[in-house]
Amino acid sequence: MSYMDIEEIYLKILSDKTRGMSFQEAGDGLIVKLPFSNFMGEPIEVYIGSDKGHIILEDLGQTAGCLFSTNQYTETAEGHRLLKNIVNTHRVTMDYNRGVLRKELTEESNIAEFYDFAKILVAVNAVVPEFRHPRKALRRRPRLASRLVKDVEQLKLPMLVQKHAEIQGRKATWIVEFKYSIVGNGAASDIFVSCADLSLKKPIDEAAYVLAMAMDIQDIPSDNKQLRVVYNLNGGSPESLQASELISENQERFRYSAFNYSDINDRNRWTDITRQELALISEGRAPLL
Amino acid sequence: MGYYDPSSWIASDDSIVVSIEAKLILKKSAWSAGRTTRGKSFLPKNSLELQVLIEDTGEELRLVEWQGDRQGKIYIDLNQNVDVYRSGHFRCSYHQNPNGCAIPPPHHIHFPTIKYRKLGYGQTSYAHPIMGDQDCNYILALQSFCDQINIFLDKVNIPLWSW
Repeated sequence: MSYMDIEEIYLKILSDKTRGMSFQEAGDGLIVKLPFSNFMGEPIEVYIGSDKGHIILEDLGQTAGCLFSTNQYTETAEGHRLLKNIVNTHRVTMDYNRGVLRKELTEESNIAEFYDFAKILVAVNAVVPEFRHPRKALRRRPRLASRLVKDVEQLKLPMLVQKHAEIQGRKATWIVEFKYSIVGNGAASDIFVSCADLSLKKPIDEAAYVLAMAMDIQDIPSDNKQLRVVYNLNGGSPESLQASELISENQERFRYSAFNYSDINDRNRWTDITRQELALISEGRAPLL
Repeated sequence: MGYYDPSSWIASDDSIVVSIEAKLILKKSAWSAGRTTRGKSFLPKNSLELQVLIEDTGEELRLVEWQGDRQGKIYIDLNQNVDVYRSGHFRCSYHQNPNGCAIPPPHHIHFPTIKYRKLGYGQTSYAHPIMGDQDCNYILALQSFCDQINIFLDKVNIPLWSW
């Protein structure tokens, strides 16, 4: 068979009277819409054009899009490997720079080559979405406040602890995660525990909230008030490190105690102190105010 | 930033999937997803991947955007594991909804309903139109997609090559 030009292929496809096929001009070539849906439910399209005197067929990037949407784009992924096997057997090129499948028709090519190319696209669009595997979920820990609740619940003394308690400052009323009261050295003392979760929200804002609260309440005359700040870090990101330094460095200045929940020793220190104080209450050695 | 309720586009015998819409109403923030650089990747033009966090529940979603060659159609999917919650098609032609309603070009967003729950996979589904120019670019498409489902993009580093 002699070498065909675009017009000839176009006429050939038309003469096949394939139902549901439509055409659209695109630059120097044309786009054929096949009567088959791609993975997104849209018609599969094939671009027919010419390049350096050769007729080329391209997939308009839909196959790469299919691999990308289904998270199969790396060369080790099943979808990518399957595509590579298919295109090798059909002498189709994967253009990694443009993300398109491309086939150059030779002089011996006939209309069957067009349909072969279309079959590759149909096959890949039908099979690859079934390989879709979820992106590995990040091991996200629950929020710090939930973890503190769990810690306190493990002490089996939750009724002794007031959750979401208020603390009055000079300019505002602040909400802390816990409050409980103990008697030490003959005097009653209120313990307020506030948490600064530096892993989810803007860590600097969290630190600023804690510092503002500490600053605001320190001027309220009360001898028996203790503020404890429990904070955690987000894997050592620069912002969370900066925020943790702010909390840690201002302890003496604003009179509070800080505990780094991400540090096992610090966490145990906080848990031990809390356990000891609550045990005193539960044994009746300290009144619950 | 807000949420677009697509209920008005659905036939009376069908309805939106409440559990999905509840997630889309909540405030979400997106940031650029780390992508492996090992080996070759067969990627379409302007491919962008974002991780989306539902702030109130801590759930993570995946948003992917890419652009087709030559015609420059832009596709954006928001999914959680294998479920696609929204699929935006920009610079596209007409879309026919299952109830017969034709959604005019250039842009529409597919959404799941009880009867047509699965988006993509060669299946039909409902879509609602969104406003915008035919020659809308890659960034504008992302912004208008996220505007419809309460995703904040202030933490996203848009690659320079996508402009």
